[in-house]
Amino acid sequence: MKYLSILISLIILGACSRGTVVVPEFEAIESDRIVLLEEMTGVSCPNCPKGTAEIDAIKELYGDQVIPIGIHGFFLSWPTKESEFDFRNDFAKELEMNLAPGTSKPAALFNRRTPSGESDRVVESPDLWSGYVAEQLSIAPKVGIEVELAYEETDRLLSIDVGILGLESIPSSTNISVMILENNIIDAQEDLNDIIEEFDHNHVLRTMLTPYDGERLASSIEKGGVLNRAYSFEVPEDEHLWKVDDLEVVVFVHLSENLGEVLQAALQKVER
Amino acid sequence: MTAQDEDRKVRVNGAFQGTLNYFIKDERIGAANIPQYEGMPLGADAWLSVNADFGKWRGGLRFDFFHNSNLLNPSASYTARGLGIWFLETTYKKFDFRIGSIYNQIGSGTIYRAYEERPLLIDNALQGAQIEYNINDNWQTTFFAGRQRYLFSNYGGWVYGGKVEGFMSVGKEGQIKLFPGLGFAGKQLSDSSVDKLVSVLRNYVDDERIEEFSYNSQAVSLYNSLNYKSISWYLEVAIKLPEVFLDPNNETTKITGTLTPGRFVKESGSVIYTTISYAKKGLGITLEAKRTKNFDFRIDPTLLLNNGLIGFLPPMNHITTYRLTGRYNPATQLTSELAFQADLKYRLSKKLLLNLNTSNISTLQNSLLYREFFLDLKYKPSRKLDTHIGIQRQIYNQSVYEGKPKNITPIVRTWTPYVDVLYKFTRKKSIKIESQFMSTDEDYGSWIYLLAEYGMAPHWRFELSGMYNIIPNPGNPNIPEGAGEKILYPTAGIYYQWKQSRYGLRFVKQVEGVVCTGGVCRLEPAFSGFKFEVNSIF
Repeated sequence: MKYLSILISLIILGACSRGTVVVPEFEAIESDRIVLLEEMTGVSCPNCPKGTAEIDAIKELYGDQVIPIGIHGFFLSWPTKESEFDFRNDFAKELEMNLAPGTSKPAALFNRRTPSGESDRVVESPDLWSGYVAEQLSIAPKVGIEVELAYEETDRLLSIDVGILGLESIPSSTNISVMILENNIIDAQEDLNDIIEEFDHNHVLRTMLTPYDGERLASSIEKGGVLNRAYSFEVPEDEHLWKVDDLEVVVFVHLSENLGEVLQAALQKVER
Repeated sequence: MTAQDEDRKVRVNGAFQGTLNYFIKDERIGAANIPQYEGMPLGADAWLSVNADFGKWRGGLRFDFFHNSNLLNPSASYTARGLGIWFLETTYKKFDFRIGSIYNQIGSGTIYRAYEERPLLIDNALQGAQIEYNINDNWQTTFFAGRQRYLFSNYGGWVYGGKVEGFMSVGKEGQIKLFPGLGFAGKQLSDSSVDKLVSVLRNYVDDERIEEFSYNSQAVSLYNSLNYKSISWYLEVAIKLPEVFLDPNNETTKITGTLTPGRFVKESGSVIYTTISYAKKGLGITLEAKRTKNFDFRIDPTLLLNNGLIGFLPPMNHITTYRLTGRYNPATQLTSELAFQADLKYRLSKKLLLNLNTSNISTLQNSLLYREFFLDLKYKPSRKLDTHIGIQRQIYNQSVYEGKPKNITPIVRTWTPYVDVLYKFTRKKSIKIESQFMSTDEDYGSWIYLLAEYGMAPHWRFELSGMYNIIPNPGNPNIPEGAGEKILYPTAGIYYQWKQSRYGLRFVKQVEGVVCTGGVCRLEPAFSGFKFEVNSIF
């Protein structure tokens, strides 16, 4: 019994050996890193407005250091009974199927890296997203990306010139992905109470100018090495969608294998 | 053979359980858009356990295998294999020792329960050590510490606890028997959990801010069973000391001013659970009550759903095996629940047994979550015939239990009459017919379910059943694209028993719904495909 008492005392002492955690104030992070936040979402997903609110708060905290992308793929992405538009497209479906198969929603990836303390790169709790953005900002970018856009009003042709600079030597194969996003689409969205008929949908992935898993950029990148790519896209004419002023072009470089880690990203708004 | 020879002998036993799923896409019922229906159609889950005894020593291993499995997340694919659990235990004088994976609980499990539910891929065994000390013939104490298992790893952090349980008889001639117990369970957060919590809390606006929290938190539980003649009374009171947890009924104010559902709060919690039963010849009465406040006790407060729960709160509704009467299940609410249940069994005559059950579950703010009335009449005139006829009334708050939008998800109200007949032609041959009808204007609308099962003991059993959406509810905005029509969900199965092994091959189409096993529930999407099941012990 004596030994048992000692053991119990040790357990209790051990359990209480760590004390109190004081929650620090929020501090901005200075970084050249841009965090690509790919959100798996859907208009028939009652919890997804929570993801939207979290992204808005993250943008408020970190501004242009974060590029959110709304991926309306499969699960709960089918239009509601009140929807006018269907945001699903083949690129979104492929990305959801390959990045976050069967995820509950909302869920997000941060530069396609597995956050520390997580077993998967898909994080389903929006409450945690802000912390993982901060974690990614502390990682120095391995490449720099410059994007220049030119839009021809007459033929609705968007030209995209991309320059990539190796900030350090990358021995692995890399891909480049180019996405077109659209903001300010007013359409239905389920939430925990109702179907909101006039929800402001932002960062909606509308299409990609590369395959969903990107196109090959280089088998390796030297420090100081420069790579250039050019793309063009004819913006479709539509009464309600594809509003040029609401379009954004996102370019990011990532490791080729298994839609690998995003090394850096850049965003440019389309301007007339 | 002497007892000593027996002690030197190694006894080995084991069990194998496996399921092979072949997924067949059916967009009409919503069985689509998950990896298994989009190019990974073969999935498998298997568990192989081997245990051995040698004198005072006992050990065991379990190998787990998952390939494109939909058990972990019914909408996702999970592939992994390896050593699931292991343990080694022995006795020395008044001590029992166990190391490795440990299953145990304190009281009814409110503050601590390590258990396994394979259909939901829950196995939260404690990976650590446990000591039991038999103080005397009537009293014993147990202490344990370790990490909570998660798949082939653990959640991090530490779980520890202990209990003292005993037996006393008091009163005239010791007629009152008491089984008291006192337990405590604690946890220490991992650094990773603390980091995650800090990353959330530091963004909270001033009014909602939690300035500090502890790595450690504890819960205590006092419980007792009292038996007196035909009466049995169990009472458990559990208290959780203040700690940070996610309150789904609260809201967080984002820095943008937007309110979002769910907020981490730092509060204490409590559960009071009691059940009293009376049984004498031909009559059995059970009354149950449970009050739960803020009892979300997890190894990592940022985990969701069934993940990382340290305790287990028992469900408070009638457990039924019928397909339609079991369609709507009230999963236990961890932060606010007041539940009552009454059950009466009365033998009307030698051939007739009546079962009445009712349950009522609400929030602590008196908002109704679930209500059920259940009547079952069993008529068994002979060994050949065994029949049940009954009716169930359910009122089910679907938006709370299934997370669907409140204003477009009405309370589901059902009437479900049923008849179940089992007729034995001979000692070996039998047929079972089940028919159920669920009448409701909500959710998917009304259903009819028919089942025929033909048994040829001891080897064969054949099953054919169908669930048909006889009056669908196409206007429901919650049901998947394409559903909401008159759709038949058939099942056909063959089962074969050989010695201690059972094999089953089934073709299944199953509608989306809440699936509960052992009182733990989750929402599962529709299923379409074949299932081959093997259960074997050796």
